[in-house]
Order: sequence, then C-alpha cells, then structure tokens
Amino acid sequence: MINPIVLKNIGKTYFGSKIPAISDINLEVKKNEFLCLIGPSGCGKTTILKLIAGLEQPTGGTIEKPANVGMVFQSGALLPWLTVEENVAFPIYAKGGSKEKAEDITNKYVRMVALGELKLKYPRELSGGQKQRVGIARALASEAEVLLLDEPFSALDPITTDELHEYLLKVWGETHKTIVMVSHLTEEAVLLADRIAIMKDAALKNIVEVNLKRPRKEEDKKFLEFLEKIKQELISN
Amino acid sequence: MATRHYHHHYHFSYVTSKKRHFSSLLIVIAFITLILLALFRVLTPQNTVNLKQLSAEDLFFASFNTLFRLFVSYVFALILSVPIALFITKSKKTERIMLPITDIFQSVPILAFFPIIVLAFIKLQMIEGAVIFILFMAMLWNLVFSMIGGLKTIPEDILSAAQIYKIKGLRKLWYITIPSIFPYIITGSLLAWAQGWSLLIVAEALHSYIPNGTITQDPLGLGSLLVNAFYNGQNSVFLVSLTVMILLITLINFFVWQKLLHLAERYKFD
Repeated sequence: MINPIVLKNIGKTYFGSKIPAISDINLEVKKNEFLCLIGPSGCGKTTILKLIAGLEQPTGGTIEKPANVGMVFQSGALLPWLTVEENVAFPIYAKGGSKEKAEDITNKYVRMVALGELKLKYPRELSGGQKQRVGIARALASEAEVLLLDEPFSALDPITTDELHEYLLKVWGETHKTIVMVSHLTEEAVLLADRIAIMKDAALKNIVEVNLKRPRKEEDKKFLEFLEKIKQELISN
Repeated sequence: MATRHYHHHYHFSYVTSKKRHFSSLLIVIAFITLILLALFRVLTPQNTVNLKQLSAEDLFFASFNTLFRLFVSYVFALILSVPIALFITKSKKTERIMLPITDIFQSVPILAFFPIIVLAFIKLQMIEGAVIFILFMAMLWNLVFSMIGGLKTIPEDILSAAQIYKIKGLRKLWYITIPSIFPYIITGSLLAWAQGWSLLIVAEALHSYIPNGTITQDPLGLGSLLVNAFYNGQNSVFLVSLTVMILLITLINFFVWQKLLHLAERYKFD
C-alpha cells in the first residue's frame, strides 16, 4: 500500500524570519490511518498541515501528497451567505460538478454528520459544534483522499468536543479516509489517533503508535497510562 | 412558512445563478450603454425651463434627469472600483505603491479641474458626459476605499479554503470575493451617493464655468434648478426643488439602502 503523504527532509522558514518554523521533518502518513500532530504552541504543527494542504511551499525537502485534500479549519471557514448544504456543496461546484452530483454527495455527507434537518440553515443560525460538523461534511464532499484538521475543536466546550470526537470517528470508520489532525490536547490525540507525532522546537521528536483498542474511554486505566506516557514524552523531549 | 420559502429560493442556486448573474450583468451594461447613447443624442444643452412658470412636468423631468445621472455615474464607479480595489490589494508591493497614489488622487478636489473637463465635454457636444464624469469621479473613491477595507478583512481561513478547493479567477471573484466585501460595497455606495447628491449643485450648474455662460447651458436637473432659482430670487422654486430632493433622498434611503444594509448582514463574517 502506497503512503499518500511522504515528507522528506522538509524545512520551512517564513519570509522575513531568520528562525525556521520547521526543520528536517521526515514523516510518512499511511493510507487510512488517523495521525495526530501534537506539541506546544509555535512548534510547527500547523506549518506541516499547511504544507500538506499546499497553502505554503517548503523552503527545503520534498513532499509527496495527493492533488486533492480536504481541510477542516478551527474557525469553520464557512461562507455566511450560503446555507449548510450550499457550503457543503461548494467544493463540488468549484470542480464544475453537476447539480445532481452535488445534491447526491451533499445529502450523503450532511446525513453522515447528522445535519439533515439543518441543511437549509445559515451558519449564523448554528452552534459552534454544528458549524464544525458542516466543515467536516464540506471536507468530505470534496471527495479528497486525505482530510486535514487544524485544531478543529479547540474553541468548543468539552461536551460538544466529545460529541464531535464521536462524529469524527464515525465518519473515519465509514469513509476510510486518511486523517492528519493537529491538536494541542494530548487526551484528544490518544482518544482518536492511530499514531501520534510529537513535535517540539520546530522538529519532529518522536512518532508513537497508539496500541489501545477502540472504542477508547478516557477513564480506562490503560488509556490513562498511555496518556501519561505521551505527556512524559512531551516533557522529556 | 415564510422562512422555508425564503430558504427554498436559495436552494442549490449555484449552477443556475452563475449564468443568470452573468447574463443579467450583460443586459444591464447593454441597457446603460443604449440609454447613454440616446441621452447624448436626444438631450441638448439647451435648458428651456422658465423659472417663473415651473410646471410639475419640469420638476418631474428635473428629478428624473438628476436621478438618472447619479445612477449612471454610480454604475460606472461601481464597475470600475472593483478592478481598481483588486489591483491595489493584489500584493503587498502594489499596495505600497498604489495606496499613496490613489490617496493623492482622491484628495485632489474634483472642482479644481472641473472647468477644464466641462470645456472638453462642451467641445464634444456632451454636456451630460461632463455632469456624469464629475459625479463618477466624486463617487469612485468612496467605493474604492470601502472595497479595499473589505478585501483586507476577508478571513485568512476563507482564502485558504478557496485555495484548497481550487477556486480561482472569476469563480473566486464571483463566489468568494464579491460576497465577502458586499457589506463594504453597500456602505461605500451609501457614501458615494451622499457625495453625488452634495456635488449635484456644482455638477449641474455648468454655465458658471463657461465664459459668458447662461442658464440655458445648464442641463435640466434638481441641482441646476436649485442654483438658478437661488440666484434669480425664485424662492418658491428653490423650496420646491429642495423638498423634492430631500424627499427623493429619503425614499431612496428607505427603499434601497435600508433594504441593502439589512441584506448585507447576511454576508458578514462572525
């Protein structure tokens, strides 16, 4: 099986800055896996995501990635003048898709994230969690092989975040997409990911396999032990 | 039920609306061009209105002419302001060079070169063109600077989403950029019209800029009526013209701007 994302010796220094945002990153993301990038603020997690998304170009190294990726943003990045279904359908129209195709795909993913009853609502009529579900559905509707999530739940309350974790796992289970998610919450990474890439000081320090059975529960002893191990990794690195 | 109907109206409107919007734009441009051609041909600089016996018909045509001049000037200003604002904000470099230049342009009082423009248009037998050009210049900068403000406030995530989903060129302009700056276009338009109304008395009173000019050289409009009534001591004509002007401004504000400002709320980012 070919890995959809391969980063080789990737470096990125932003224009006008002398300090690199990331340096010498080597990372392979396996097909259908859920990878979480964690680390303290400013360590370069989002830069890696932007490079994979094609929003930034590396200043060194090479990237292999699919031409189409879907992305879920922290802000949701929904267009306020469009309804839920129009927002979800947006990537399809952008590629010149037909109305019928857009309706089919949109209905499928809107239902998958349980937004069927809200599909004619505008973003301002939705809660933060509902907006993120629209963002997920839109990323899925792009029919991209890879989904990139940039701290999508960081602005939400814990109950909504738990709910969205369930939706995300459900979507991942049903679509078998490759997911790369940036998070600053270790608990979130252990709960969701197959592997956790730990970053610090613009470098990738370690990649840890999460060998916990699913569904994972935050109160389980093994979960807590694993969480502690990751936290120690973060501190020791 | 009313809400559902409203939503239904926008239900998957993309594919059809694109064609509809572009064809509407073409029709509007063709319509304006035709009207302008007719206007330049039919309207003469001769103003035959007798201030001492101003009829309701005269007042109606004066109002119509004034509104039409403002409208045409606004449409031209609106169409031109989009590429200007896009060009200025295209990159940090163009912004650094173009912003001070446009700032100087908008600071140069339009009236400073008004007589030159008037004379040039009179030579070309295009009095209407002179008025429209002056109003257009007065309106343009309000729209340009409002749009620049709007373009700079489009959230980074929205632009990133457009890039990821490969929405570029005209598609990006139509589906992302224009709706994103729509509230700014409306506020800019409000200011532009206000500027237009305030310059009307100068733009339509052309005779004062022509050597040995007479009132007959002024194009008929509310602005020229106000000025000429005032200088000729026709207080009743002055008051009636002023009342009609205030009434028009109020009606436009109520039926156009208030509605558009309300609509603009839907286009605002959180």
